[in-house]
Amino acid sequence: MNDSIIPFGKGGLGVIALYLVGLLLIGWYGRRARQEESLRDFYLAGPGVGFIALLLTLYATQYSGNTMLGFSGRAYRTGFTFLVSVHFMISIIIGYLLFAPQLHRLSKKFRFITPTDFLNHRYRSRTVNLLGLGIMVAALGNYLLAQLIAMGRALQGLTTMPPQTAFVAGVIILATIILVYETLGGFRAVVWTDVLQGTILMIGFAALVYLVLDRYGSLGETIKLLLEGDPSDRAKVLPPSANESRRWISYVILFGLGASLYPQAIQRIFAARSERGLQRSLAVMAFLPFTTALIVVFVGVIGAAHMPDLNNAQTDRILTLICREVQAGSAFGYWLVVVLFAAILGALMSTADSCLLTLSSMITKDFYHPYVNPHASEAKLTQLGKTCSWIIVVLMAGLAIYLNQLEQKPTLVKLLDMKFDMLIQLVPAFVVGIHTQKLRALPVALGIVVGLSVTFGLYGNESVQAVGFHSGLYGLVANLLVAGLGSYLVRRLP
Amino acid sequence: MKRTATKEPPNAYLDWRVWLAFLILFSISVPWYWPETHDQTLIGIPLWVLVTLSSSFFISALTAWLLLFRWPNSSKPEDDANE
Repeated sequence: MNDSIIPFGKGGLGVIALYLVGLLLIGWYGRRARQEESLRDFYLAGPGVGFIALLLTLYATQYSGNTMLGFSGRAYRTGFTFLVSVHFMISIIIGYLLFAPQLHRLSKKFRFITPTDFLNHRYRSRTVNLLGLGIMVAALGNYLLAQLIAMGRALQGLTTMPPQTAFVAGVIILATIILVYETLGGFRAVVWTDVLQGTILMIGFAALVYLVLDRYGSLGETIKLLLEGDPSDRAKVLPPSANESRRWISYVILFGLGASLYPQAIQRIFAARSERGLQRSLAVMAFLPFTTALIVVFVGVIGAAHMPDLNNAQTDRILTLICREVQAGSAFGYWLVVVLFAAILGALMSTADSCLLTLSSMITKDFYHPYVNPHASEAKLTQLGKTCSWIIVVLMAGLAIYLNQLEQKPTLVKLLDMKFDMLIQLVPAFVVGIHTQKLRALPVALGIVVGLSVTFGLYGNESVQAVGFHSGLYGLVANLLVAGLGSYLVRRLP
Repeated sequence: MKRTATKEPPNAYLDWRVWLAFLILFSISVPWYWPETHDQTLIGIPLWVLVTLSSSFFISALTAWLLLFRWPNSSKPEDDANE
């Protein structure tokens, strides 16, 4: 049998099936709770959500399947140097300090639904709107695709079906469930399922700690094993090199600024019912990397000590491999793995559904409504948004299945890197623009174009990689210079 | 086209002392200053890992404190009434 498969019995599969049916029921309740057929009701749940729901939706959305699968693989390969993940997840919350209070207040006053609404309010420029829309749609599409690929791989690890068949089945079944509950209940369904998924995710991380410590002993023993190993093992517990430290700093800036501008996260700032609820949710979020990313890093390091010699492609499956060993150990281990698998599904689906809802809202409200059919009613736009979700998923699922057949597959972490390099180019427009009126639309637009050009121009450049900083940061510097100097010159013009 | 005025209260988070505090904490928590061969452990964990995690915790605590007690133009108590 393939060693990366966790064979679930009828009981385990039954629990997973029940969980998925539960998500559909939540969608149905979300539909019953709707107050009106409007974009605001469908995409932001009308007046919004309170503290607990907001916290769990932020949590479930921010911690994706990549956190558990991709991060553990990365920690396996690089060891404790991947503690950078704890740092960059904290830095996202620091990023919010820069603009969330003002943005929340403006969103309530001017009834924003999508992030582009802020750009439109601030700059009144079609060019800025379209550039912002393009970057956010590309980043969301990228993220959604990564979740769909991870869904296929999750099912591959569950059954003894041929891998490609299991992958296709995983993508189609899970994406269809998301589509059904999201079409039924919109943002309410997404948030309420996030509450369930976020809770299971928290339980899953606790289960992960228990089962790994129970199986492999203390972290101290693992570290001793690595320190006594060959140089590549020792490197996993020793401090990072100068280049890795620069990369570390780069990650902190890239995530702090880039990931805080995730469109689905911005929509959650809009959806906070009160400022106090938003404050409290973000304050708790500042500590959650210690209960998520940190645990995953420990798991990756433990895997590196106890399952050495995995090849590069296998390292992303380290969590599955550990689960398989634990599951075979005892009945209790078996059920812990079932809970953990439900948590992984929750992490994947909660991120995918948020991306999908935000994508459909942006395409419908920011593109179709202003440029295709300005006279469309709210009901028609809401209906179109639902249709849009189905089209997006069909296209993305097709792409995920196609990519899975390729020999050279993009790894989850590579996908993750690209979207932040793009999103960070929106920093002048959002983060600077919300604090000063001195920034003007044309230089801001030009800055984004220059920033993206520099970013993609330097992408994969060996000298840039040797320094350690992400190409998006060079792009951001160029972007800020163009936006700042350009706005200064525009103001000086007679 | 004319821009829309966005008059907002000053943001306490933009105070330079806040960012100096973050800079100091990040300077300690990013392990740039440890020799690459440093293998000293404390309670079985590499010392540099413990220092990084401890200072990261302080970064989280500072962030949470700012969010809860230095939120610009903090919301009024009645904001919580509908929760």
